[in-house]
Amino acid sequence: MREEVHGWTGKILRVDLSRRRVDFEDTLNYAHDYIGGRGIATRIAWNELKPGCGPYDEDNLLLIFTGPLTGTSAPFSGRTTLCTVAPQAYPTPWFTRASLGGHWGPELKYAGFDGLVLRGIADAPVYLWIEDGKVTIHDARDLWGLGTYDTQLKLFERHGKDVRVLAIGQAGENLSRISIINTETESAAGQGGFGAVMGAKNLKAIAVRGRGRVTIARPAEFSQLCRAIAKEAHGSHGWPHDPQLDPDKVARYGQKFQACTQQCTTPCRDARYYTRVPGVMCRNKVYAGQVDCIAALFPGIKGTYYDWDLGFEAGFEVGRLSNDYGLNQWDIIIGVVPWLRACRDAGLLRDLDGMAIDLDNPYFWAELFRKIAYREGIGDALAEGGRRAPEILGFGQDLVKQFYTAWGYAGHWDGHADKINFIFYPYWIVAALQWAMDSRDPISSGHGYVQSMMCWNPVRSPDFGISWEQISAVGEQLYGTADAVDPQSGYAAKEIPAVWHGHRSVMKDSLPLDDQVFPRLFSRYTPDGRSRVGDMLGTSFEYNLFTTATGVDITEPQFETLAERVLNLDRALAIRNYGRSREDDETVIAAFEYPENEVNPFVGEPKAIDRGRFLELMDAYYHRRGWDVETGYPTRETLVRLDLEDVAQQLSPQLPPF
Amino acid sequence: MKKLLFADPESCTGCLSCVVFCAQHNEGVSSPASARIYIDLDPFTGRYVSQYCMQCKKAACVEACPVGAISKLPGQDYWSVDYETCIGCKACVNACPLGAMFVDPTADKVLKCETCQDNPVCAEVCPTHALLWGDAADRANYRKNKIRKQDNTAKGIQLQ
Repeated sequence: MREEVHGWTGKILRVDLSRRRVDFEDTLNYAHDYIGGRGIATRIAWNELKPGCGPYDEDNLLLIFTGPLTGTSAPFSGRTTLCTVAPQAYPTPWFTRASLGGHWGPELKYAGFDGLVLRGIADAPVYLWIEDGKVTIHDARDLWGLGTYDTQLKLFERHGKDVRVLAIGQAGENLSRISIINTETESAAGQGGFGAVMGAKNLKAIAVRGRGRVTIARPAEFSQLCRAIAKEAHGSHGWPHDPQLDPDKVARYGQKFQACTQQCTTPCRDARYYTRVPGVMCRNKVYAGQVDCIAALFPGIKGTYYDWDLGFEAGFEVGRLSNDYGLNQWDIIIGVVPWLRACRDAGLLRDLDGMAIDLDNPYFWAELFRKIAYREGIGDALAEGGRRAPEILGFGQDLVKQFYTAWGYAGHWDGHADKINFIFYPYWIVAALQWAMDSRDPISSGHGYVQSMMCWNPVRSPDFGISWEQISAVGEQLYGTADAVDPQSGYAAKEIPAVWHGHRSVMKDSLPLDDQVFPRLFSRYTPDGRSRVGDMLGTSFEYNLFTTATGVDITEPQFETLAERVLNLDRALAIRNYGRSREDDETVIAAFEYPENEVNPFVGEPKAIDRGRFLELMDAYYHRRGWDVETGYPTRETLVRLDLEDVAQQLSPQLPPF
Repeated sequence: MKKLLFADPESCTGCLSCVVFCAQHNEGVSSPASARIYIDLDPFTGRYVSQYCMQCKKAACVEACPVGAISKLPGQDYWSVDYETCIGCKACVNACPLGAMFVDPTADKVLKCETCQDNPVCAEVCPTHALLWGDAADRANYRKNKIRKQDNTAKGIQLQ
């Protein structure tokens, strides 16, 4: 008899689009060793993804995985992790991940599945329809060519408006490397160009309805714990301030707080919904939708690097367009557009196919998006993403480097290429280390350390933050040394948080939990500034939610080992399939050799990276990880310690001797 | 004083915490289909409409029930279902004008809000007070006060 499963639903759905075949697999083949989400996806990729497999190949897998907490009452748990060979990755497309909010992942769980493994290429456009354990492949020729919004609305008409849909837009169909997979108005697997992977598979959408349930191993205890965490995390996530609405925007545009994912139990500092915003280009239209995070930059912000002036209404309209086409807003705002502007200012580019580069004009943006989505004129090159476009077009190759930190991803919480987030030396050293070791922008570990440190300290938040003494004390408890968090500590002990948050990022992408809220480090409400519920420390929430939900009987250090295992397996996959080594890791340093954007008042002068000291720090990181310092490969000893002997076996020609 | 669960759909964030917490607290499973509250989400207009039992004075479900399984116990302000008596005919589901009598498809039983015995979890976890457990008399002034005080932001919960 099959053992009882809690947390997970117990079933993985496998779809081969070439053969139009549907198959099922037991989640427990992986779950106890790899948690869920990113963890299970990485293991399946290790088993099945062949070296040399490109993003658009028939053999490429699109792995869409929820975790054991998705769809449960665990606060901030409604997310989904997608993994595949990412077209956006530079210089080579390689295996990486993206996370998606909305209500799609929980619905998949209620429909009876923990995740999807999609392979093959359909011979004509199709969409998947999943309802309570039943899966069918439908003709989508009538949907092909529609945007992500219209696709969802059509499928609402067909299957009822309570279904949840993942869809790609024209950008994904036309294999743009900066295309997204979108759900609702603005929840997307944005980074990586995953829309193009769906486009290459001829898969337009995945619609889901579920009326089933997720059972919990210890329901009463779990319910109590969830309620306590919901209260603890209320109001202050990622930073200490209470989020506020703008009374003017509430009155004019119907602004309200919005959850960017199911089960988010706090008003967000970023996500807003606007119920009525008049169109500027389409004057007879009134737009509604979500604005999370980066889309708030579309209107432009005076006094920042992104100081164009579209005005709120046009900025909102432009944001809707980009979501509908299915374009990666981060790459456009932080990468493509600043680069175009820099090229114009340097006299390298006069216009875009005859259209003036005028960032204050909404028609410029609309036309830019249309060109990229349909690969028209210069848009054909820009559709390859801001990192590749300069090489194709043959100008601005040097200018583009200031906007892209590494791996084809524009800056993000790194203090250099991303010129909006407030971050100074020495905190971006940890970010640099995280960038160096990851396969994408390392943002789920970046929000954990860099954002927390910057937003909670008294320089950034004099009114609401906690004191340097409290930060030091928490740093000492967490990382074993206050040097890891001290504003004057330079390069000292920076490898410790980089390793620790690496594990936390795996937990967040595997359970999954929201990466702005977790890990819970600081609190305004406790005397020592450390987050906790009763006797339970905030940093133990992940472990306790996992064990009460699933009933898996492991200790907290063992749980951390699961995360470490996933991280090492991810590294092993990068080595086996893409020849990743220390040499690649070091290429990140160049992006930090410019002076920083903000100056640390304790240091008093703008800092850039010190290559020699950073190389030493990398040594310390590899050492702490149990990786070989010369090559950056996990040692056989490390892999065996993590129960990855089969992985060590396969990697053995590459691994250094014992 | 009599307390009521009331809703302000305009500050609903669409997180569905109320729904899943309700099912987890009352039924021990995480499933919107097992919850006693339903949020009709329209992601493209931002209209998030809540459906749950308003504890009617003259309750259609009570009148429709052929076996008298829905009743108020002495001293109780909410209608509760006696599952010993209930025959599962679902007449109450059809009768309810608010669509607030639900059927759990897995357990095949009717579900209605019983205010968690005067301590509703949904209102407790709602991040923006879009659901509020309050005095019936406050209801009319609720939204006006909320906007004036700007306390739709955070609950300012103090922890020991």
